Amino acid sequence: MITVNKLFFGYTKEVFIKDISFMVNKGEIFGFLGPSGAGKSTLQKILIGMLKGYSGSVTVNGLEVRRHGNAFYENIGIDFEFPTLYEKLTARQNLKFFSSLYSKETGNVDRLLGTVGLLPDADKRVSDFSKGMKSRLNFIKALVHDPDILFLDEPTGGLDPTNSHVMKQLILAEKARGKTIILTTHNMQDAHELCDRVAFIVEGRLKALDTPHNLIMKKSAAKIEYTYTENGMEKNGECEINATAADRLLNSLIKQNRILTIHSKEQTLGDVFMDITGRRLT
Amino acid sequence: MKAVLSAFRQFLKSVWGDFMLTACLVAPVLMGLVFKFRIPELETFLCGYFNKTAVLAPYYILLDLMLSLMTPLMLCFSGVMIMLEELDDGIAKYLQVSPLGKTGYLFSRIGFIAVLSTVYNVIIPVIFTLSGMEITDIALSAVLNALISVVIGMFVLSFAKNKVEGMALIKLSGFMIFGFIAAFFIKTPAGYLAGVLPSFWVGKLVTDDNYLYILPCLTVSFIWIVLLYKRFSARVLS
Ligand SMILES: Nc1ncnc2c1ncn2[C@@H]1O[C@H](COP(=O)(O)OP(=O)(O)O)[C@@H](O)[C@H]1O
Ligand SMILES: [Mg+2]
Repeated sequence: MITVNKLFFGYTKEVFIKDISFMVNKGEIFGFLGPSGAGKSTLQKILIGMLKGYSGSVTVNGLEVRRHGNAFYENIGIDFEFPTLYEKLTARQNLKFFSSLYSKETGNVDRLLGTVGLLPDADKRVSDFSKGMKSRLNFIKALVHDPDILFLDEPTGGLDPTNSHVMKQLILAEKARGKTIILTTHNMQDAHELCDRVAFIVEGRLKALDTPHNLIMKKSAAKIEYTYTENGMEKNGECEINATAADRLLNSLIKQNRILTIHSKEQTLGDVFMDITGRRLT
Repeated sequence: MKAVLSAFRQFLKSVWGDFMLTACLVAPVLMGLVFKFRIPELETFLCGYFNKTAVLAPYYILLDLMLSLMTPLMLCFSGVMIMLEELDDGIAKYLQVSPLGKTGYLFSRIGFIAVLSTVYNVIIPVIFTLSGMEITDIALSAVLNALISVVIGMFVLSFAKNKVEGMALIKLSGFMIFGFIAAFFIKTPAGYLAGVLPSFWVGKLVTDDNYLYILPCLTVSFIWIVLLYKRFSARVLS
């Protein structure tokens, strides 16, 4: 679906995006994970043909995006980081207008409003919407023409936990409908929950690329943490999960039934990000 | 094409939804009515009062020129106000990554306005001309004035950060009228300094009745467009 090969780009003479190559397969959710300013949005803008002054090759649906015509946009849906909606118009008027730009008339405005629970507010002005409502509306705006590929920039950014959860369910529902989704996030939790594969982006470079599961597994193993009492004092110990046999203390505690608490502590994607890139996500 | 028409329809709806902008569309007609029916009455009164054969009549061409700049200026004002709002709402950015595209967006706003203004601006002077302008003069000045309104629109959009500033800059652009006044009154070579204003050449064309003035008018307008383009595209197209 998408192939990026030896991509370089700079806003000024200074090169910012450096030597990035990857492929996105049909039907997967592909994430760019990185701290603010890493170049995630820049990468997405290159993929959707907004920034044409790159070197290297970027093909989407087999087309080099530098040379695409406007028909390119018939089949991709874009949800920018901030809502792009007519504030003075109602939700329904907005969707009707945006869908009228595409040659494929899907006529599913009301169905879309329904999927995000906005049908009761369809005739309210967007300026009266809350942030969460605007985000949901902006998301379905990218779906009015039923595109095969979706580009989502920080889809959960700035949303409260409830709205964030709703948004993630919506994204997974689109994946289930067979869409290919490219999203950016600085939230490791979201990347883990949503993405089939994640690219770590730092300072315009791609530092790692794999499934969240593999990224976590490849790095140092998960740990076991346990607590016990000794001379009336509560103490704790830890060992790697694949080296429990070597932890004499742990083994003797188990034999003596002296364990108070015990749990395994998996590495998070954030820990792995820190390990690989030396940078924190926030 | 479907996208361009949809976008233009949306533009008209936005104009229609705003009282001030709708009023702008009617303003040139009102001004034409006042000019056509009140000025000759005033002239009759003034001639009698000063006991002269003509007081205002020699300036009828100037009034006609002012009227012919009204339409593009008013339409340009509507266009700019709506585009400033679309910039604020992020719509301009979104439309560029839709089948409308950059050129489609500009055409559905600035291009259509220029075309609409040209048509509108032939009809109004034909009905309301005071000096009895010839149809060729009317048609030529309509096209050139529409081009001038494109220059003004680009100028305002390049520099205005919001609608208030936009309104102030549009008023400042009324300075274009000075080009007509210079062409009409200043007969010394120094008058040609006003030639940096494309309107100066429209004034020349109509007062001297020489169609060759089209060339400097087009040249000056295009120079302005080229000078403004970088700033304009950084503001509107990114
Ligand atoms: N239009 C622009 N012109 C110049 N620099 C820009 C522009 N847009 C973004 N940048 C810079 O590029 C860097 C990466 O920005 P961005 O891609 O938005 O990061 P992210 O989305 O990962 O937070 C930042 O340092 C930002 O200041
Ligand atoms: Mg970003």
